[in-house]
Amino acid sequence: MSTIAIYARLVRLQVRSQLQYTTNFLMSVLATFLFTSLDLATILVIFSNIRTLGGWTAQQVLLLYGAAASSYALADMLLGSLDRLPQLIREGNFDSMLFRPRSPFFQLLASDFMLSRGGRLAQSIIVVIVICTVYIHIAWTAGAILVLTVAVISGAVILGAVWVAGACISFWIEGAGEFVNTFSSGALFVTQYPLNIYAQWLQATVTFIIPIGFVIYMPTSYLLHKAPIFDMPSVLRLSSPLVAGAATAAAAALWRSSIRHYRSAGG
Amino acid sequence: MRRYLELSIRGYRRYSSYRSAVIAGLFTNLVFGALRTAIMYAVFAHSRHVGGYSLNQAIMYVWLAQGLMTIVQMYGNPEFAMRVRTGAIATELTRPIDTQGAAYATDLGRATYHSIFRGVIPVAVGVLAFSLPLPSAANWLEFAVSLWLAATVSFMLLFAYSLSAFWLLDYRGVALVAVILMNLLSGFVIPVSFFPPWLRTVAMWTPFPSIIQTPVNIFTGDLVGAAALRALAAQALWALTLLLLGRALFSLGRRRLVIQGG
Repeated sequence: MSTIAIYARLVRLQVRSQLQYTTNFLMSVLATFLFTSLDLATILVIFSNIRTLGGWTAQQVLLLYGAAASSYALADMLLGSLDRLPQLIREGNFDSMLFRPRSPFFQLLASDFMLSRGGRLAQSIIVVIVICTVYIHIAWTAGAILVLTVAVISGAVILGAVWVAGACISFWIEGAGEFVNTFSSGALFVTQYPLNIYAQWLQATVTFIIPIGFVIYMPTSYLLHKAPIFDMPSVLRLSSPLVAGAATAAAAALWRSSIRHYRSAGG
Repeated sequence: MRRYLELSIRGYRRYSSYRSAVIAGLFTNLVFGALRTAIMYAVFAHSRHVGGYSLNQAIMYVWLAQGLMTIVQMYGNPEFAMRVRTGAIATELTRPIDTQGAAYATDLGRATYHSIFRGVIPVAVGVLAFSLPLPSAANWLEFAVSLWLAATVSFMLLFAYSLSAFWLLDYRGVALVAVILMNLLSGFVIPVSFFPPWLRTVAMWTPFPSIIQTPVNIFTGDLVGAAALRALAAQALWALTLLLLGRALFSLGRRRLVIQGG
């Protein structure tokens, strides 16, 4: 059986078992839905006091928020179980994944699929669609829609690559797992606001080193005709898919070398 | 009284054994403090005052909120609800000590530990990095009282909604709604004074601003004299109301409690 087929089967099993507890499932969907709305409320409250933030209007920031949250939610649906890695290592359960005839990475991803994380995805996609159709007055040509769709998908890949790289820390430093969460939630926070409001060093870091600036900010600022940061050529902001590819390759290399370095908690 | 003091000391010691969690938590506080400060700079780019705050006060707000969040358990604590759910609460009912009082005493020990190790550092970093003015001596006493009341309100609220585990198979939905409301309405993610008027009115009728907004405003000197005393009185009133609500729910809940084995 192919890896994809096994993944599909494992996911289907988990979804079925989660749907057994209907009320519980609906509650969790509602919960993730509401939790993302907290960031939405924050932005709305900010804009009840000011007109523009770093030159962006409320509607433009909301587009940024919705698209970034969609990328995050997509990455979270597929890679959410990375959160469990520090615990698996600490309890020695990661070892059993090394014995089985599939890659440990695949096993980790298939081990904890939570359909309720879809609540977040649904909320952010709704925000994007409402904002785009009602408030953002640019010509929504097929090209523009394509740019946004590709941005959300490559954004998810970039975020995923950053998480994988972050999760690798737990192979090298014991107990560092708690820091990993900060990377993912911090990344979400950074990508939800216009990058140009942050200090130069932070802008440079998230553009050239940890490329989460390309998650949504770059393509969106291109779509909305904003001035590019660091005076980069305007179209370079559409290179998110390339950045996503490079980030994935780097994360994969780091993961492989980390696994080779791994020594079981049992010594 | 002696027994409660012992429980507080145990609560303090228990948390002091998780040092790596403290370091990771502080790291998170510093990252989010810096990011939220950047947002504040952008918010104040075109105006000197927003929601009645100056830029300095808003930055102080951000770092104080980071310092307070662990003390008041901004993201809740499933411990007590789990005790109800698993039935471990039965053991507590056999003890010759008030359950709510014992849990409160233990939690005050935890809050004291977190005040020292999770509260001081973020505030100190904010003050030093952005050269913020510290409050005058008179405010410190009022702030100390307000901090204690904030921890109390937050505990009494947590205790009360944790008791929903007596009635619900899965209390997590209730806990999550409470956490989300608390994040927004306490002024943790964004100051209450930034709210549009209608939302501010909603918040003011809930206990949540007593948990973050009030102690912060007292620290920054936004509330002084009679206004500060009124704010402290409001905190005390919420603490008492929630304390009584918790007791009422607990006595109702224990009548429903059926532990296996009779």
